[in-house]
Amino acid sequence: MAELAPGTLWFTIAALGLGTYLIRFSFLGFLGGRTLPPLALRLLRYVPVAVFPALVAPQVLWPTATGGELDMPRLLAALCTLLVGLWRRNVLLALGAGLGLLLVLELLRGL
Amino acid sequence: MSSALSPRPATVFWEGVRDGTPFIVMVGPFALLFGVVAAELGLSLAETLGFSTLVIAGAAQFATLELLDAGAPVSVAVGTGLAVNLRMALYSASLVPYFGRAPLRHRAWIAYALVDQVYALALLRFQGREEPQGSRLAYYAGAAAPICGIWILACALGAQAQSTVAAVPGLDFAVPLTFLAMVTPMLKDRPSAAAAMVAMSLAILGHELPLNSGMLLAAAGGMVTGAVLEGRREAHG
Repeated sequence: MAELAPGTLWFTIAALGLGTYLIRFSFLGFLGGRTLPPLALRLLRYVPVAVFPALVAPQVLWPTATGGELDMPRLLAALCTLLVGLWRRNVLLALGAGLGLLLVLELLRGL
Repeated sequence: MSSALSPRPATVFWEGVRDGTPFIVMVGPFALLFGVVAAELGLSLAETLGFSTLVIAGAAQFATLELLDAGAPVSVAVGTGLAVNLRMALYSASLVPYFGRAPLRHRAWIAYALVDQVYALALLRFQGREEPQGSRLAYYAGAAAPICGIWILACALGAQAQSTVAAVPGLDFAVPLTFLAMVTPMLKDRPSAAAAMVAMSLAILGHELPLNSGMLLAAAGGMVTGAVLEGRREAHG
């Protein structure tokens, strides 16, 4: 860790914690019981199906663990999770399949 | 709605706990990893716990620590962490239809526990199911308890047991796989599938944009796609 002035780390933690809480509180806290316009409600219905794929796609193609290099075991594990999920509509089954495949491929790579 | 027919909050709370508990397997390793990295960078146990209880947001915690370690100014480190968390404003907005009328003291803790997995579990349950607000609150609390609990606990454990944890292969990838697995049951109609495809493509195209803005633009593009297709479908009857 680069040399930090005393208190800098705690300042960072507090600022990030407070900012993150305000982001989470934002609409839920300040909008409260007011009804949202229909267009906003329609857009918000697609938050999970838009945010999660957008988070995952770059991590699948450029994983942090390999320093951003495309990695076949991770790519295959992601495809396996997606296909099993779409096929069986079961979160835990999909995750177990993907993680299991990755573990096996990683162990094989170590041989 | 007759309240006599709705299940007791305690029952629903345990349903939430039941649904949230398996995620210990995915959140746990990621949290252990954060503890390991933090300890390697010389953070004390108190500082590591400070991060995991005050921030509770894995990706942002990693990003901020990495930047501090690389010698970036605090403003850049905090700004990047917040940019990574900006997606949670969307989570906050999309919970308004379910919790907007809850008393402020409830909305305050709901916001604290609004992490990705809790949010996804809540939406999987609430979408298309009518239930009284008390049930929703109980379910959310039940789902959040194991997930937030293991996050904080495993960060501390990782800090204590660094070397053993770092040896398990593939742990780094548990969280992306969790997100993928959680989104698949939601892709049940054409607008949702199109929203996901567009968001994924835009995120890949924009992954080099600064301050996580590629991800946010991609999410916005996906949401607009879904909403437009839904509107068109309604217009055609």
